[in-house]
Amino acid sequence: MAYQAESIAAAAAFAPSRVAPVRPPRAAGASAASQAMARHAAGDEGAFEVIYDELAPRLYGFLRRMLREGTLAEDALHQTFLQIHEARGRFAAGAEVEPWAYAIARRVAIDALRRGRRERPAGAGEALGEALGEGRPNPFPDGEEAARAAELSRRLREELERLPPLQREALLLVRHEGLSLAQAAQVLGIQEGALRVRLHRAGDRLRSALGLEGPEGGAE
Amino acid sequence: MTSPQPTGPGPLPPALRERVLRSVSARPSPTRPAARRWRAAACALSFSLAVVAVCVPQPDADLRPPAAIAAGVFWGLLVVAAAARVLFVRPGALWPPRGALRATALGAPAALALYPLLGAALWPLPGPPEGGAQGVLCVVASTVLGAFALGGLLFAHQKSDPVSPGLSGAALGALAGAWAALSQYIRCPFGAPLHALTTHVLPALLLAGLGWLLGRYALDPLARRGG
Repeated sequence: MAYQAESIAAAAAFAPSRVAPVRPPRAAGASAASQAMARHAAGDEGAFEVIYDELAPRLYGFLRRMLREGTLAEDALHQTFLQIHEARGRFAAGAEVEPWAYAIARRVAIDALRRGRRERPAGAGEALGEALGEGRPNPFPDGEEAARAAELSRRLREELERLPPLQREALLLVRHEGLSLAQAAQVLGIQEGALRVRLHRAGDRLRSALGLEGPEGGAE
Repeated sequence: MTSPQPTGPGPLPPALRERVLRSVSARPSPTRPAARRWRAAACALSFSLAVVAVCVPQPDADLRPPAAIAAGVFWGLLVVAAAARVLFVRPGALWPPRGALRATALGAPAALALYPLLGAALWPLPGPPEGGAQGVLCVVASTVLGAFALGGLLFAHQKSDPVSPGLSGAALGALAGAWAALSQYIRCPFGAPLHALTTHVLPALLLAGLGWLLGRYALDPLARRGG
C-alpha cells in the first residue's frame, strides 16, 4: 500500500547509508556567509548584514525547534549573532562559518534551557517529524489512509522525543538543518564516525519502535 | 480526519534584524589581525619564561644531565609545539573533536612519563639526596612555568570554544605542563623515575586539571553571561 511504502521510506531514511540530509548541504567551497564572515573578521563592518541575511533564517528555525518558543528563540538568535561578532577575531579566512554559527546557537540554546526555562530541548521530535513529511502536503486526504498516516506521524513524533538527546540532536542537525556529516560532527564536537554511529542507532531505534524492521518491507 | 498541520518555525521577525545590527554596531570587537597580535604576544610572553628557564646555565657541571637526554628533550619540545600547532591553530573557528582533546589531555602527561622511564633504562641517573630541596624546586618550577604558559594560552583563546571548553582547557593545560616539564628535564640533574614522575609529570597532570577548571570559564563564550 502507498501508506506502507511512505512509512517504510520514512524509517528507511534513517539507515546509515541514507543519512543524506533532507535539505541538501551547501555545495563545497566557501558560502556567501563564509565569505562575508571572512570580510567581517578582517574589519569590514558592512559584511555583517550579509552574514545575518544568510544565516538568520536557518539559525532562527534551529533555535525555534530547540527552544519551542518564539521570544526565547529571538533572544537566543540575538545573542548568537553577538557572539559571532565578538569572536570574529578567531575566524580564519577560508573556514566555513555554518558549523561555527550552529555550535554557538546550540550552546546558547542549551544555556537557555539550563537556566530552567525549559526542561529539555523538546521540539526536536516535532521538527524531525516535519523532516519526514509531517509538514508536507498530506498525500492521504481522506479516510483510513489519512487516519493511519496521522497515527504514524504521532507515533513517530513520540518516538523521536524518546530518543536519547545526543541521537535526537544528531538527527536534527543532519536530517533537518541540512548540515553535512562533517559540519554536524564539528558542531557536536565529535568525530564523523561517532556521528554516523549515533545516526545509525537512532535509525535502529525508530525502525524498531515503529515496527519497521528494514527498508525492504517489514511492515505488515 | 484531521491531517497533520505544518509546524514550521515561522517567519523571522523583521524588527529582530534591526535590533541585532544595532547591537553589533554598538559593540566593538577585535578584528582578526588585532586578535592575532594579542594571541602572539600572550603566547610569547608566557612561553618565554620557560625558554629563559631552560637557557639559564647549570652552574655545576657535574649536575648536568647527559647531552643525549637534552637532545631527546629538545625533540620532545618540538613534538609538543607541533601538537599544539596541529590542534589549536586550525583553519576553522571550532576546536578539535572531544576525542582529540581528551587524548591530548591524557596522552601528553603519559608521553611525558615515558621520558624518565626510557632515560632510566638508557642512562641511569641518581635521584635527589634525601632531605634535599631539589624535589620541591622541580615541582615549583614545573608548576609555575606551566601555569604561565597555560595562562597565556587561555588568554589567547578566551571565549573561543562553544562546544567543550572544559576539555579544551584540559588539553591546553596538559600541553603547557608538558612544555614546562620538558624544559625542566633539560636542567634537572636527577633522572630517577620516581623523582621525575612526581615532580615533573604530576604537575603536568595537575595543570591539565587546572586547565579543565579554568577553561570552563575562560574559553566558554557564554560563561560570564550565564545566570
